[in-house]
Amino acid sequence: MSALIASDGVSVRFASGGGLFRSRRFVRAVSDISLTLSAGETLALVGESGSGKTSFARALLGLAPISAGAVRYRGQDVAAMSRAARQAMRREVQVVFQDPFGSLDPRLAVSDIIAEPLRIHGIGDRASRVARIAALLDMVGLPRDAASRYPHQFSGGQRQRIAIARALAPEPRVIIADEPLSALDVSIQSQILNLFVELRERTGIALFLISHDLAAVHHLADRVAALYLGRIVELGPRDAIYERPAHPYTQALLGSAPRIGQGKRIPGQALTGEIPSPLAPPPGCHFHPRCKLASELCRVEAPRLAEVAPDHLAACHHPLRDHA
Amino acid sequence: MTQPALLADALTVRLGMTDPVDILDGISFRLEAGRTLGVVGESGCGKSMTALAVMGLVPAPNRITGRLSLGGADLLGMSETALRRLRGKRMAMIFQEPMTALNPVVAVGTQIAEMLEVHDGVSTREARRRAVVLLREVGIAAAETRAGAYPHQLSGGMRQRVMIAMAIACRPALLIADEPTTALDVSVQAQILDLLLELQRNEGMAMLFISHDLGVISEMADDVMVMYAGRVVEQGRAAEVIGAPGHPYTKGLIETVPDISRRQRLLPVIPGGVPDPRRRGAGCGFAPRCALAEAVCVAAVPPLCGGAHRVACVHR
Repeated sequence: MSALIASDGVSVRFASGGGLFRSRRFVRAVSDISLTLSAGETLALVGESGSGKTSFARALLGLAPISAGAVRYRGQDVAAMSRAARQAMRREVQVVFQDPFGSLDPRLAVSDIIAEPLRIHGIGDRASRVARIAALLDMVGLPRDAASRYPHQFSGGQRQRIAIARALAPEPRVIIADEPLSALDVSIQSQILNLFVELRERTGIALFLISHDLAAVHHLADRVAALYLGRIVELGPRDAIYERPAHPYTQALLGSAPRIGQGKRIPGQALTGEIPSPLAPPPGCHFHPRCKLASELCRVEAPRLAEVAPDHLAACHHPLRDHA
Repeated sequence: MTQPALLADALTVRLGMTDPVDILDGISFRLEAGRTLGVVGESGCGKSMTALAVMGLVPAPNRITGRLSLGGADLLGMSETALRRLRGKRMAMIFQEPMTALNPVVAVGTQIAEMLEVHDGVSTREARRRAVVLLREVGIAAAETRAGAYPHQLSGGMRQRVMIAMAIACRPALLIADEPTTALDVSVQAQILDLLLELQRNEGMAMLFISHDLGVISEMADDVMVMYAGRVVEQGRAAEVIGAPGHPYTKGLIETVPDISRRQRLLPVIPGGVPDPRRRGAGCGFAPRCALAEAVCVAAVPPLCGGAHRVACVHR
């Protein structure tokens, strides 16, 4: 498999505060992230709010300033791309956002919403676009007559289908989906999860999924990267991450997600504390103030991502070693 | 027999004057002190309306019928003045988004102290001292300093802790928690759930716990009530309702959630969505989405049947 998108040590920082008498401070939203997304693969980025998931996705799309490192699309540095190459990339990398109420223009009919990327990229003529819209509506499970209606006439789940149809319109190689389920009711979430599974099988599209929902990620992802305060703490194949997490944070996240049919919870096992402010990240390993295994070393030196098993990396001085 | 902490009998909320519709239709349940009743269902099934009805917050001119009693006291026949004395003192509620429930321009310690002054009639000084104790009790570090903080200076998890401190300030017999952790991250959610369980163990309060998240309900509730389109479709012990669901809707809700211990290509789905209460029809509200539906299902509403584990479905 060849890398479609590769991030090479990407960092994103935002200026914060600052004024006439105060110096500007910088918030490091994303630090030194290296990840690759291969053709046809589903890679999930998990982490709590403030972990930098969305900032990283925006950096991939060229929507957030990259302060260090580079994003490559099919081998080419995005920052040094020609206009034409960048245009092609924008066609091939599409996005689905969290809120299907905010991401669709309320004044456009569904057919215009779906046709917009086709028009922008000059794909097809009027007649072929009409046929394409009908095919896309079929693909996402909406009736053909949805084309002439407006977003407000649809439920949240149906709107998310419209957003997905729009993303699929220019036949992208990659869809970046930022929390595509979290605004939806549970019974609707499973419908959209199934839609992603079917689309992936039919089109061979690669999916970069950003989510805090570990069960949904387990259902879709081939590989999983866990983020904490802007850094990758663990990266590996789905089963390795869920069955043999090596980083205490990943293990705690998996342990925190409530599960059905396990009986009443036993208090006292929750992770203590909250994710610190990225304005003042703890020194050393960012996770050490909340970690039961933290040692002196963790307080002073940030651990590097290192292999704990083939293709399974963790950034921890004391990785969990129950790899039996 | 002692009075249950909360008892609802055929609770019905009728909305609108011309063309009225029963958005809650004959809800009955019994909640004992020290226990948690989990209420589950999709948005629009009546979960929050049930909570509002108990709190006496259903706006006029909507009419409530049936019976609702808090520790034996009839809530529906009570005057607004009497209700106001109970709210906050005998029964309290926490919400999904504490930011909108807290006053943004009053320090959190003052907001808690106000409650104590009003309901317990203590001095301002004493109320402030107790507010700090309460903040400490809900796990807020440096409570003396934090008492002077405004809601926007606190994280979502901290704000929910403040809400809980306020809710338990007068040691209520009943705590209603309406999606208390839905806006929180999983690690903070776990902390808040633990806190609620510990407070319940120490105080012996009854808890009405509303959530759309079956995982959360499963870990918090002793008993479960599944609601669909304004009616109870299944109720019983949590282990039974979740372990051996009898209603196709409950089964569907459980199966649609991806399970990390299983591997499935496609998840089972419940087609369609919750109907508008006006388009519920004469039969079982779930019939239009149900794979088992037949003529008898759309003819009449199936009654809740069974002993301790009750199901409203003719196919049980």
